[in-house]
Amino acid sequence: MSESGPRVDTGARVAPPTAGQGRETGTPSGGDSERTLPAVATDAARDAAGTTLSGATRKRPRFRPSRVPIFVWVFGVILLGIVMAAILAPLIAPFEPFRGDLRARLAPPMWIDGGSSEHPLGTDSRGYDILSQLVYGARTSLTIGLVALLIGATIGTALGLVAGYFGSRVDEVVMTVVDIQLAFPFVLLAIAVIAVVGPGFGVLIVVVGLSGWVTYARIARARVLSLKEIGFVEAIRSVGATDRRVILRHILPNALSPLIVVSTLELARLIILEATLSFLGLGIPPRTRASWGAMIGGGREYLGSDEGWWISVIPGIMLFLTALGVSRIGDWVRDALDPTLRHD
Amino acid sequence: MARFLIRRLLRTVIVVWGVITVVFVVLRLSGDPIALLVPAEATTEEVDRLREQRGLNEPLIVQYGIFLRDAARLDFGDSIRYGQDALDVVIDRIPATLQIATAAFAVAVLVGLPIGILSALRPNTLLDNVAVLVALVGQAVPTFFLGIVLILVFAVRLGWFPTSGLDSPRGLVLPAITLGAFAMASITRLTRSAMLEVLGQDYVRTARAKGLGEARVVRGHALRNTLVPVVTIMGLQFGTLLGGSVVTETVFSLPGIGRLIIQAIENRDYPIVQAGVFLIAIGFVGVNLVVDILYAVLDPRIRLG
Repeated sequence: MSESGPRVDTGARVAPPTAGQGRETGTPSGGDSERTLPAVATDAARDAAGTTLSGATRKRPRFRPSRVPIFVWVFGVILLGIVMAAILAPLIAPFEPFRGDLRARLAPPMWIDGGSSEHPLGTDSRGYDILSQLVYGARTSLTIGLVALLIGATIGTALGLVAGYFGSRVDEVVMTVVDIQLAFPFVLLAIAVIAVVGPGFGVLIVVVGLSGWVTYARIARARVLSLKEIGFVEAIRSVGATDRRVILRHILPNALSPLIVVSTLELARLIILEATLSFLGLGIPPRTRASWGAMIGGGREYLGSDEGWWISVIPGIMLFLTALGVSRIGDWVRDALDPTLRHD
Repeated sequence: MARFLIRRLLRTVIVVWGVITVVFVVLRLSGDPIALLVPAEATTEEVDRLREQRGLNEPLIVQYGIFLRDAARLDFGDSIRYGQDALDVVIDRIPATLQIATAAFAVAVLVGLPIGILSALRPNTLLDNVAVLVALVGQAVPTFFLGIVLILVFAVRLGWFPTSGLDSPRGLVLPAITLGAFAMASITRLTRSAMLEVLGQDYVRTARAKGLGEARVVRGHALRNTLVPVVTIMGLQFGTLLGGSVVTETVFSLPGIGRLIIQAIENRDYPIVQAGVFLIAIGFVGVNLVVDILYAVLDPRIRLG
C-alpha cells in the first residue's frame, strides 16, 4: 500500500505537471509531491501502467484487477454499499428508525401491490419504516462487529504473546483457559451472562468480543514459539532489549499478518453472533437501536400470512449477504496472503 | 493408550471445573445471586432461609466451595416456575434436544461426507462447483434465518411440513436441515480438501502404480486418511449442534433444552438456566472426549505423542 502514493504520482508527472492536474488525479500535495522519483521508478511505473496511464485505477503495479475473481468484485461492491449505508444512515433513512406511522402499518415494499414509494421497503407491524431500520441496523451490525473484533483480537493477541513468550506456568494457565472456552458452546455462555446482567449495548459488545479471543491467542502463541525456535527472540534479547520491547517492537509486527487474515474471517462470525443474540431477544434492547437480528425476530409471527413476510426476509437477506461477502473476501485475502492458513 | 486416556480424562475434569467456575462467576455478576434464585414474591423469611441454606451469607471463597459441592451433587436448586428440582425439569427435555441434534448430525454427515468425497474425486465438474457453492452459502447463512426461510417456503407456502412441534417425524425434517446446514457445509468443505490433499500423496501414487483399481485406491488408501481430520471436525460439530439447538428450538418452538433455557431467562428462572447450561456443557465435553478417543484409535500418532 505504501507504494501506491508515489506510483500514482508518477502517472501524473508523465504529462506536464500543473497544479490543477495534480489535484485532479489525487496527487498528494505538499511534501510528497516535492519528492521527485528516480528515473527507474518512473519507467517501471510507465511499464506497469501500460497503456492506461490515465489510470488511478492501477494503483499497485503488482495488484492486477484481472486476477481478482469476479465474486470478490461483486461482494466488494455489495459490502461497500452496506458500509456506505451505515455511515450515511441519517441521510439515506427516510424516517427515524423508531417512529411509527400507524396509518401505514404492514405496508408492503413498493414493488408489491399496495406498496408506495413513501416506504420503499415497506413497514412493520408498528409502522416503522423497514428501509430506515435497515440502514441503521447496518450501523449497529458493523459497529458491534468491528469493536468486538478489536476487543477479542487485543485480548487474545496479548494473552497469546505473553503465554508464548514467558512459557511455563503462564503458558499453562492461558492454554487451560483456552481449553475451557473451546469446550463450551459459547452461545450458551453469552446467553447466561446476558440473562444475569440484562441486555444492553455495552454488554453485547463485550460478550461478542470475548467470543473470539481464543483464535488470536493460539495464533499469536504459535507465532512466538516459532520465532523462539529460530533464535529470533534470543538474538534480540542478547543485545539488551527488555521483554516489553521484544514483545511489542519485534514479535508483534511479525505476528501481525496471520492475525489480520484471521480477523477478516472472524468478522462474519461476530456479525452473525450479534444478530443471533438480538433475534433471541438477548442483544440490543428493544427500540434503542435498530438491529437486523431484532427485526428478523420481530417479523416472525407474520411469516405465515401474506402480509408482513418482508419484515423478516429483507433484513435476513442483508445479514446473509454481509456475512457471505465478508467471509468470501476473508477467504480470498487469506489464500492470497498466507496460503499456509488454509484449513477448510 | 492407558496413559493417553488418563491424561485426557484429567483434562476433561479440569474443563468441567472451569465450566462450573464460569457459571459461578456469571451468577455473581449480578451482585446478589439470591435475588436470582427465589421467586419475586418470596417473603423476607423465605429469602433468608434460602440464603442460609445455600450458604450465601458466608465469605465468597466458602460460597465457591459450597457451589462446587452442590454442582458435584447435581443440586441446582428448585425451578421457580415448575416448583420441582431444576435438573429434573431439564432432563425431561433431553430427548427432544437429542433427537434434533442427532437428526441434524445425520443430515450433515450423510450429505456432507459423500458429497465432499465425490467433489474431490471429480474436481471442477458441475457437481463439484455446485457442492462448493452450496457449502459456502451453508457456512454463511445464519441458522435462525435459514430456519425462518425454510418455514416460509416449505411449511407455509408448500405445506409439506408442520411449522412447529415434534408431534410427527415430519416435524423433525426442517429443524434437522436448519441445524445441520452449517455442520454439513463444514464437513463437505473439509472432506473435499482433505481428500484432495490425500489423493496427491506419494502413497496414493504408489498404490495406483502397483495397479490397484481406482475403487481400491480410494477405499483402501485415501479414505481412511481423509477421515482423520473429518472425524475431529464432526465431533466438534456435534457439540456445536447441542449449543446451536438453542436457536433452532426457538425458531421451530420445539420442547428441547435450548428453548427451555430461553424461556427460563424470560421467566427469570435461574436454577433452570444454571442446570441447563451445565448439562449442555457436560454433553459437549463428553462428546469431545469420545471424539478424542476415536481420533487416537484412528491415528496412533496422537496417543503416542
